[in-house]
Amino acid sequence: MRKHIAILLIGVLFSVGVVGCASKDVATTNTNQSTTNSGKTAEELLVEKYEEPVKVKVVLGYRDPENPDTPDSVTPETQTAVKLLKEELNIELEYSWIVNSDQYSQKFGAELAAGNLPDIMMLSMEQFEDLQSQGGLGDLTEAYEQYRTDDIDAIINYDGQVLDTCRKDGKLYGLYNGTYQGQVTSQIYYDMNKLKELGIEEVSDLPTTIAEFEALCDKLMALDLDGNGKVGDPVLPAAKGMNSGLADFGAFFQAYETALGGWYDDGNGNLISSHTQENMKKALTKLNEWYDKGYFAKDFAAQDVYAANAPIVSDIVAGKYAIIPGSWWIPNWPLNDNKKNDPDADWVVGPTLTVDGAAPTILVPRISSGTIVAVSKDFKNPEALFKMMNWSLNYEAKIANPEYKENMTPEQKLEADSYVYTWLPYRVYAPMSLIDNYNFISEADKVGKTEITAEEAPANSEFWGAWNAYLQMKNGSTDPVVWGLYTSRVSPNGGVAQMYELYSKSEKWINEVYVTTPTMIKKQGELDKYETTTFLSMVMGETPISDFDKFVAQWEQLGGSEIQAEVNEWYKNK
Amino acid sequence: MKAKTKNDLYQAKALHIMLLPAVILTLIFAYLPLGGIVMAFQEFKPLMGFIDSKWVGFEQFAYIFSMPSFWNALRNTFIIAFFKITLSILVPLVLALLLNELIGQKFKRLVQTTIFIPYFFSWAILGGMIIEIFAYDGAINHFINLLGGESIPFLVSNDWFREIIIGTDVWKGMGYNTVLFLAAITNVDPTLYEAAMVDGAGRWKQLLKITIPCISGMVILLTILGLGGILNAGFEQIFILYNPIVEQTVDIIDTFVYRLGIISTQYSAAAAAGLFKSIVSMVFVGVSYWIAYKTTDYRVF
Repeated sequence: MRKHIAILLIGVLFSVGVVGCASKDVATTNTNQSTTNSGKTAEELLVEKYEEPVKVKVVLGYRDPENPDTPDSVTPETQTAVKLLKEELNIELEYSWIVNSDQYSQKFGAELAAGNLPDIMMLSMEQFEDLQSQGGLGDLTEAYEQYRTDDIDAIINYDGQVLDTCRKDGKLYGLYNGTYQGQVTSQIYYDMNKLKELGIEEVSDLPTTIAEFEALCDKLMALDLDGNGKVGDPVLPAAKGMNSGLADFGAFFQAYETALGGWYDDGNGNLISSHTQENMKKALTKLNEWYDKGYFAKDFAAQDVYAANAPIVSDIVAGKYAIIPGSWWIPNWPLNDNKKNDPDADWVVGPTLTVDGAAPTILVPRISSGTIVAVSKDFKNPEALFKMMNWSLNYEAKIANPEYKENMTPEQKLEADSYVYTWLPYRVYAPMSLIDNYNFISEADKVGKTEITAEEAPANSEFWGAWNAYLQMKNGSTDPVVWGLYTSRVSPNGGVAQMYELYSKSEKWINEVYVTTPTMIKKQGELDKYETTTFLSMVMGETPISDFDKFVAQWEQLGGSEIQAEVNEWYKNK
Repeated sequence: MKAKTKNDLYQAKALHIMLLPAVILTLIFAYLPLGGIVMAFQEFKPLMGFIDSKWVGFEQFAYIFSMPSFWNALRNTFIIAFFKITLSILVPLVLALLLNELIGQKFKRLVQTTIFIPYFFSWAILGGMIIEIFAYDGAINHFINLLGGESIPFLVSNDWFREIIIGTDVWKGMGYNTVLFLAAITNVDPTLYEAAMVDGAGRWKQLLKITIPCISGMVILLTILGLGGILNAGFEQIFILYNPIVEQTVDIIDTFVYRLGIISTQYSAAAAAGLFKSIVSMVFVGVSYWIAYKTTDYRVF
């Protein structure tokens, strides 16, 4: 019997090996198949419809639509964009799997273990390095040369150099979609309506230092905001994602001039990590004090803002909080849902918090963080990626255009306002669009302009959405979705405006590292987990802050030192 | 001799055919994946396959043994499994003995059914309920407040969470073993009780001298068989209920392997950890079955 099992096992191993070989052979024959349609410009090629249907396998992690009124029948698979891609380009999107965004990385990892890669995928820098080193990604060099246009270059290579981060041995394996660097900064939103009770009338009455902020929180603790008949409920929403962009600690880390990750020059040409320095210890000490005072829910670390039906998000929507730390986009979600419940809510971005009144140095990356769009090596039509990108950019601009919108049916309009096209898993957008649009609309507002032609408008898909919101708010719209767009993108007290101001005026400490080293691929996950767990535990007082030095030593031993050596080596030879 | 075996096989043909699907399923789902063990000795890259991935010997084992979270998970696994095994014998035993003393058959049936119900629910459903009940503003804390106590952050407390894991697991599964014990109790020869009553033994003495000794075989057997699962502390339950803060006390080998393999995509290191667990488990299963055989004559093979 044993012998039989052994034989069987060997058979199994063999067959797996053979399968592995087979798929590899297929791959090598497929790499150089993109056709050269000579004589046509990239613009013509981009809109050319395929004669035979091209199936593109994609995967998706998504969140519920930003518009709470979006009908349930609108799903990633049934959205109009998917139908039109088929009609106009003969590209059929096939979703291999779709999950809630909080499960995306787990699902991706599990599928990858089985060797399943979608045809087109969005990757983090680490994933890109890892998959590329395994030979899993397709070569985009040729397709890029044929299909590049200025519009596409303005996105994937907006500064003329980020695209190089995706080149290996002279070949292009991905398209870098960066984001505006300022997006790493954090903000604090205040509901001025709720704060009236405390004598706060103007934005200028809002706290600017940690001490003033603390004093305000103390006062809020004595109020019964949610009307449940008792005081002393938490006043700051928090969750296990310390830098998740909503109900996070980002704004407080920013005040203490520290961040959860990254490698910064110590002034002598050596890179050090930010989160192992004294400033992080100070920030954690303060957060722990606040936890003990009851600012955060006692079990906040069990919460995940991106989980489906997260209670923390329901609480925000229900109006239990007057202060919400987060990123520039939170008026778009979930503050707009709160506004829907409570039309009197008046959310503004407060002043950037500081420790001592002096504007903080902000920690920002050298190359803006972003995602890399790549194709699998088995994908036979790498040029389809460019066609789809181009198509989406045009589609997004088109459906946002007010003239086009007027002729839409109510269903179409509802879908367009729901931004469900963000569910397309290869989407790119101009990194500077938020700022360009904000500046453009502010200028228009100054001169009282209300009519814009398509030629004048900034050429990005985001523009018309912001412009419409601006016009509608001017006309007294009370639609919470319009309000969300306006507050995040257009309002002078809103997300983008304040982010832009903070980023352009602040001193910066640069995270120099935008490469992924071998030890990062292997150990960064475990290191990050250790960091998160320890910091959360310190905030909650489960681990005493005095153990911070122990944490640093342990972190270094777990691989931090190795990574530090690697990035310094890279930095010096850059 | 040979002819006879052949004849036996032929006669049992229908039975063998009926067995075939089970054998095939076992081969596919239990034996085929064993091939994946090789990745524990490789630097496995899924897109390169088993052939092209680099062989690294025992490096992955050295790597996981160097991780403090591995040892933490191992310790938690033993602790949680130990308490789950012992309590899921003791609690149902006491319940069964108490139920047996009930006179009203209807009430007895009702209780028996009620405690059996959670057994049929999946952790995915119970998980949400348990989190709600134990939340900081949940039912349990509400009750504590009514009694004048301070709310306890159960879900993020390393002092409480392990107890919650063990307690809810015992609660969920207790109906099953209770029924087993009740069945064993019904099998006790009634004449023993009659004789005892004649000798003047009360209910308590009957319990101690007759019921317990008569079902002790069943108790010992279940305990010993449970030992084989000492490293199975319940992935599904813990995965659904835990969060980063309580990892320190409830992270088990299985959740550790899941995180390492699926989230951090360290497939080889995860395979090494899984293989380590399997080897330790195998030793426990072997020893416990041997003891079961020696003490109660229970045979698996």
